[in-house]
Amino acid sequence: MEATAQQPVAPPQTSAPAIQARRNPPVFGQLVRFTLRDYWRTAWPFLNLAILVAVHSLFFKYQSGQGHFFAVEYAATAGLALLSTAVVFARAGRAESYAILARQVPHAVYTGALMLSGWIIAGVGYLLSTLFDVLYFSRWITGQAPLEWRTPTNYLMGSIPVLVAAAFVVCLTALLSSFVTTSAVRLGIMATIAVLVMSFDSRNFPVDILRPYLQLVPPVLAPVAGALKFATEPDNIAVVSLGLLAGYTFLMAAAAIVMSSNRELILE
Amino acid sequence: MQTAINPSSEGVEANTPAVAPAPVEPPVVQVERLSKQFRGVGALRNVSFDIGRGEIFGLLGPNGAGKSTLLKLLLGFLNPDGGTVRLFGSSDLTASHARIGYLPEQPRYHSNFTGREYLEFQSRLAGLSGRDAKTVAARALKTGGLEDAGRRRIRTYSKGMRQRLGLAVAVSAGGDTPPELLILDEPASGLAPEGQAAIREVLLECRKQGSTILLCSHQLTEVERICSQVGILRAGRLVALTALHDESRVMITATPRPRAMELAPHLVEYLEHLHPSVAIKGGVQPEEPLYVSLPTGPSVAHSAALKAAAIRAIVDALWDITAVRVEHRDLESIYLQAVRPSTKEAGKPDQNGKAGDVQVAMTGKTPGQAMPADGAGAGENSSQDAERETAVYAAAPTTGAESNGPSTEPLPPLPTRAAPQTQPQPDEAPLEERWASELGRRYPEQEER
Repeated sequence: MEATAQQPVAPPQTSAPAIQARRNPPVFGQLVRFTLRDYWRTAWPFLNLAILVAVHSLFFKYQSGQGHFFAVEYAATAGLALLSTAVVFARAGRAESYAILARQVPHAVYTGALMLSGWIIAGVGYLLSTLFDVLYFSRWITGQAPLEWRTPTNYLMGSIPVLVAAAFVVCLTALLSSFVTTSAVRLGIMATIAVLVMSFDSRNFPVDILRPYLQLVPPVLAPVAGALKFATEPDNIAVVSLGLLAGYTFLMAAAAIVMSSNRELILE
Repeated sequence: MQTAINPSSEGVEANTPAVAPAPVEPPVVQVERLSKQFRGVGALRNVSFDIGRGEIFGLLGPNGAGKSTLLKLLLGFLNPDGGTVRLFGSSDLTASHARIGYLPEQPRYHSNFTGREYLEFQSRLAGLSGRDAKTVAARALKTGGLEDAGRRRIRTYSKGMRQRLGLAVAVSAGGDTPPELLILDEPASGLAPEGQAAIREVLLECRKQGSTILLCSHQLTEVERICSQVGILRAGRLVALTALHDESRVMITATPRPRAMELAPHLVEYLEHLHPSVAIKGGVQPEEPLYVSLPTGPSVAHSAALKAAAIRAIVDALWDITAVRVEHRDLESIYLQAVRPSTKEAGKPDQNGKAGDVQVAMTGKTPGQAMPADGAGAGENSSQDAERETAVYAAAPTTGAESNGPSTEPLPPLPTRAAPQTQPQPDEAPLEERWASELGRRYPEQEER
């Protein structure tokens, strides 16, 4: 037997003043903190970092205009959100979670904590990416004055669609997680996404007879791209797109919470 | 003539006492007709049992019998297809988690944390402050014998250490006192004998401090040592539910003579007063045999007198005793009998999830006696009887004979009695009244007991 087995297992002691568990404790913050600590102790943050370095190496080498910066960050942050959320949900889908959910932790609350954790990780990646960009185009590196467009107001306004899009991706990834939905629901969501994407250009849809009907489908996913305009030209279309994207995000978050509350747990 | 027999035995109704009962605390675990299917395959079928406060309940069964599924249903991880689960009288299972400590079948924990960090996190989930969580975690590490390993990452732990960490997590769920209910799935799995003994000590201490324990295990020896009651699952069905430590039983089978049914209620009342764990079955319909099960063995006071009084009362009540036998059963024999498909089951398709089961009945007070299957006489289960290491007394039908043949236990001398009267005299009181008063006069000590 292992070395520590020399220590006898001791019965629980009760001599000290009693410390009793509480009913309905606030567990959400504890779960977020625990999930983030667990994530940072894996190798995944290094992959995140590698992705950021690659993005900067490829896309910020020659310029960092406002539109260029937010367009790249929009996609990169969404990618980070997808990766981090998939990782935290995959880890939560293991048998380790039984010990957590056996406490006063409703499944829906745990799902919410995981979604927030995924979004925070993506947000941290976005901040880190911004830091890279500021340093790369700083006076110390280029010997020139800082970029004119990078005022706090411009940066904060431009960050809104980036972070909303990250939240959208987080919620969508959560809905595609076995921790939240059944395989039938996941299949339905993916089929819906495929149809909505193909509806932009139905000429490539594989079933000829359905192409006319596909053309009738409204561009539901257009706000996903349209919201980015808010970062540089916040006109009415951009505002509406951003609002619709936020609405989609809210609806998907609610759906993830509701579906996970009824989801059976068969963890491996 | 129905008596209070185990609610898990289908088709048997409990006798409602004439006196209104005092308010009774609900069972800690209450499972009623619980069913669960996975893709059309029945994982659990009509499982019913209760676990009272302070009990250690052992859940046994072969691999795939549904043990872990049952535990997950109890914790609300799975939703039942039928039936109900109540913990502490409430069907809100998540709310009940505040009073539960759980050790999963596979003690896997987030391996990037140290044992101390993980226990502190679990304590924070229980609503403890940071300082209290550290205190509880330190005590839990001591409980698990992991004080030196507390600062090591869990991924460096051996299987046995993870098992002990899991036990520490479960035991510390209620703070620095054990939780009210411990649900443990294979707690001694992967442990050396000394580790198993240490876990046994922890569990017994938890019970001493008021915990109720539901223990799922393959280790019959451990279960036999600490459990007060066991349930055995086979193919999703609870095929046996029995108390331990009172396993030796005297089984009496009798057939009615004319007018026996008139005396039956008095006989049942008398027999039930003999001992709290007397179980009676059958004898309701005309010609239906009567089965009486009595506790015996060295732990039962006046067991010989108890048996003699029961036999005499049955004979006096106009029943012919056809068999008297003593069953000595250990947990292994109970288990093997329960999980082995019976002859009846092999030859007859299961229609309702019960046919062919080993029927185990209990009184409402003290469970523990195996009863014959519905309608099955003593002679119909001869193969099972042999497996039960049964010492069978002579089974020749009697009409009030003094003894039924050779016995390993000497019967006490029976008091002389008048020959049973089958025809009432015109000037006498009704037969039932005469019989009851005579019985009370002859055996006052048993009635008081």
